[in-house]
Amino acid sequence: MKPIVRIALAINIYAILTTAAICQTTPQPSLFELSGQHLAGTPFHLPAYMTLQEQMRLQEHLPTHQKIRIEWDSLPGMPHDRLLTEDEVKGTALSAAFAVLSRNHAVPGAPGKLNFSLGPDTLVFIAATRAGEIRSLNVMPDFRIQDAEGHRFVTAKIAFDINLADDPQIAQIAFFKPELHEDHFELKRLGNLTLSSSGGH
Amino acid sequence: MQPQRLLMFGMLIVSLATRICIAQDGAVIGASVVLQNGPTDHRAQIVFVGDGYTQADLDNGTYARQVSYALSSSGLFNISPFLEYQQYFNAVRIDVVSRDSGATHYDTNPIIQRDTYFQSAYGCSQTTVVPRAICANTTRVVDTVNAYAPYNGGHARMIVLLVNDAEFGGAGFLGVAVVYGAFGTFDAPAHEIGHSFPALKDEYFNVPGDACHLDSYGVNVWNSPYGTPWSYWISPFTPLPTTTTQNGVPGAYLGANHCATGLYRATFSSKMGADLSRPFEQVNTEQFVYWIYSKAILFPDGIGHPSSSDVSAVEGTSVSFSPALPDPNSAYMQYTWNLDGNVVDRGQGNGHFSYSVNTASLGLGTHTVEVEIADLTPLVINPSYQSPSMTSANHPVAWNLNVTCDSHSTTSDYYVSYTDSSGATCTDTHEVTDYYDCSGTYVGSDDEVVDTQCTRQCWADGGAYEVGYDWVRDDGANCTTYYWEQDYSCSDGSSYTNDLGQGDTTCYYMTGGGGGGGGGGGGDGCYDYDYYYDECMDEFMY
Repeated sequence: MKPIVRIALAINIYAILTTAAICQTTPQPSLFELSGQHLAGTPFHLPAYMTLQEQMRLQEHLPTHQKIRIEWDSLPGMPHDRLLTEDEVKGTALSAAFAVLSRNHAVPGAPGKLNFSLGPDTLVFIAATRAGEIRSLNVMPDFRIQDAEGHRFVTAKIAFDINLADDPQIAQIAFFKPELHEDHFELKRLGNLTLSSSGGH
Repeated sequence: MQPQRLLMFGMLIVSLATRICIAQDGAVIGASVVLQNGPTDHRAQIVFVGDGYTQADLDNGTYARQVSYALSSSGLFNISPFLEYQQYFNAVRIDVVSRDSGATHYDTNPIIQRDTYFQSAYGCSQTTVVPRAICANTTRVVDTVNAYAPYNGGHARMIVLLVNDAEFGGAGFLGVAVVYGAFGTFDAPAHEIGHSFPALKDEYFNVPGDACHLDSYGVNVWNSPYGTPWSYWISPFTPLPTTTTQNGVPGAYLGANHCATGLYRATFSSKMGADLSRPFEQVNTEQFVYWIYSKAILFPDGIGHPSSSDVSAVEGTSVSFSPALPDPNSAYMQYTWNLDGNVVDRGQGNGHFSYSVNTASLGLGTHTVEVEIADLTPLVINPSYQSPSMTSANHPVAWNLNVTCDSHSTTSDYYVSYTDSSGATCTDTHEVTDYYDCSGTYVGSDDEVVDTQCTRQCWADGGAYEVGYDWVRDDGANCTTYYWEQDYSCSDGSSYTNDLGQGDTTCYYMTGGGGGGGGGGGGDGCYDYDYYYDECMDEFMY
């Protein structure tokens, strides 16, 4: 082979390899991002005219939101004045004992950008109409859990705030726990709260 | 952050809340803004909360110093990607008094109990002591932050609980990072922040006392070397599993999250691993940047320039547009400028930050100028992260540009002189504005007096006359000097007297100290010292 041809071939091979190195994998949507597929596994649905992205956009632009303080006695009967170890809670199912402690409407500002990232230490809440149409949702930390060097500690009973759209049609809030199955998350339903339309609870 | 800037923020500390919540184990004093790079609802907000600080600890500045250091250029902002994105952060410090100083230690024998507001405890529990870990009442931390640094819709929040203890320790719980306050560098706090916000897993293993769970994996730790969430970072020439000990090579390295086998980490050594001094490396850094963007509405900060979305300009003039951004100097920010839906400019960096249009090239009426912004930082290569979160897609920046026709006018001056009723000579300056419509046809004029200048006329009321002024000379002689004066009346009713100069005098000045023959008088009996009239010469002598 002539030297010039050899150089040209080498350049071509280098170019192909370099391109391959850069474009090795087309990134897929993150496994950890909440998607329409996750919602499809729940009894709730987005409005027909809306994607999850559009719901996100709507939620970001709302001028006000409602703030609901929730109490969750996740492990009834367990002490809630100290952290529980994994061994103490092993085999105990999470309870659906969610209760509304307070509810404030017309709080200034949007309920926030949708936090899409799912994880074993997160909770997903979906606020929906009576007919199950999703009007607001988000992913939030499960503040019950404290993972320290692989040891998981749990607070049995907590109270926390959620921010959601101040939509008078919202009649229920459902809570889900993302569960990792090999390479995907599934939303496991924990419980429901029914809200009164009057604004109180 | 530059020291000057820190100082400025320090001086501008603003109390956000004055409410004091008294609790048995302490009290919340209040909150202060300690870093303000932009509007609260367009930034990631770091909220520092302290535990185990007594009033004395707060008074001697221990807690405030630790927070200041954390926000200094030696602290968090010395670490990528906080270094590159420091303009995207605000920070608030919440001061909390605890009854006791320090933290509970379940990791000592005997156990040390401390009564602190957030119940921070080394070892986490009495029954299962976890070395180095600090647990706390994180729901109380979150409630305190909600009360004193309320979430207002658009911002991301990064809560850091500083525990007033000298022993190395911490924990990164989702939503709250717990860090010992006496950190020497910010590496350990940054590691915990990595757990709490982008939900990064530990990348170390083989540490006695740690618990391995093979079902605990995430964005930076996976249960197989294949199909990892970060696979797009891995070169096809990198073997899987990856065995090189070279730093900065994304791959799938055996051992992670407290498990020596069964779990794989993204790089050989990163800040989420055993060597906290290492950088976060590519995969973790990408997660951080994405976390910031996915939680906060970072840009635009507002409409930018012009500051109104409705802009009016006369045909033929130029109008310049630019968006409001946390860091307009970023070389990786891409701007796509659209005029009436057509791309007119696209590029990265400062050179494309603004767009100027000459309205002469546009038709009359309303046009739309829109800029699409995208952060193309090489720290993020996953396009599903970049769009829409790292773009302005959900928050378009647009202006309505109304181009009006050039219904121009011309102005000219002319002058009118006259004598007014007082007899003064006056001149009025008239400004004439001639108006023309868009086609150039004359449509009318305005004539306005814009200035009047009058010169008054004055006349002598009579002839000059002498006025005598009496004075006493040094030797006691009474003297009178006469001056010529003349009275005048003027057209505006005023009058004045004109001084025409000195006339006769009955005696002249003399000096007091010359003595006979002094000062060169020369025996003529006259005095010619400085500043005095010489009686003989009748003139000033110098």
